[in-house]
Amino acid sequence: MAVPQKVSEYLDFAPPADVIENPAGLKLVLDVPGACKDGLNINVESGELNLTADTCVKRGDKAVRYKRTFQLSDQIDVQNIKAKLENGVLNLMLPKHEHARVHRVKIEA
Amino acid sequence: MLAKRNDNWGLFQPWRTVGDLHKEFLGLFDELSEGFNRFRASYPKLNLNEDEKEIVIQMALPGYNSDQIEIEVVSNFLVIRGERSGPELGKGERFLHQERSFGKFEESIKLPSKVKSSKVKAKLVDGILTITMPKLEEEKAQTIKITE
Repeated sequence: MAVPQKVSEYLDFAPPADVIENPAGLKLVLDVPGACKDGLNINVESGELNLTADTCVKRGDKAVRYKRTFQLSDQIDVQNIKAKLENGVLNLMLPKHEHARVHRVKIEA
Repeated sequence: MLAKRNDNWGLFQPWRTVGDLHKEFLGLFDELSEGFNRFRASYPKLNLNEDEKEIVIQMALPGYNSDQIEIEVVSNFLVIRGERSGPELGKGERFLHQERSFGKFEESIKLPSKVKSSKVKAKLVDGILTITMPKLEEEKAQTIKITE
């Protein structure tokens, strides 16, 4: 779907999010129905992850837009954040820095 | 790293809220604990538009595949059913926070007029289901001229 070029006003929604932790980092899953790749904008600035997603969905004469901000800890390796958008679901992979990961130490007998 | 971790150990802060703990332990904090109560995370679920020829319904169904959705049209009723399952947790994974909903739903919508059930079309793009239903002839507005 194409994102409308000229929209005078947006209607902002905070998309619902799931947060899953695994040893490698955090997974952030957001429902952003109607959002497409071109309208997606993710940036990290001073420890804050800002997410904006334009859609082609309209409510009256306003276009629906998703907006949400997450605060990241310094354990997150912001250089390697990966995003995937599929069927209106946005998956963000936020890896932890190597030094922040849990390393199990085996006790030798 | 260890030294940094140990920094708080001696501190006793009884006024610390669960939110703060959240922040420290999760390493991720947004409106998740605070603001979530302030404004609910959501998106518009349904949109209905009609003109003289057709009725168009848009429904937000993120993460659904077309085989997980069932659509029925009976006279001037539209029924949409669907089911989606939540993310499967792999080994060593756990939920820190959950806002998205899963499971079954059924939505019955009374349409503003009768439609040609055999001509109803549906498509699913980017998590938005669009159902286009042409109206029955008799329901279309007719302009009647007054003859003297």
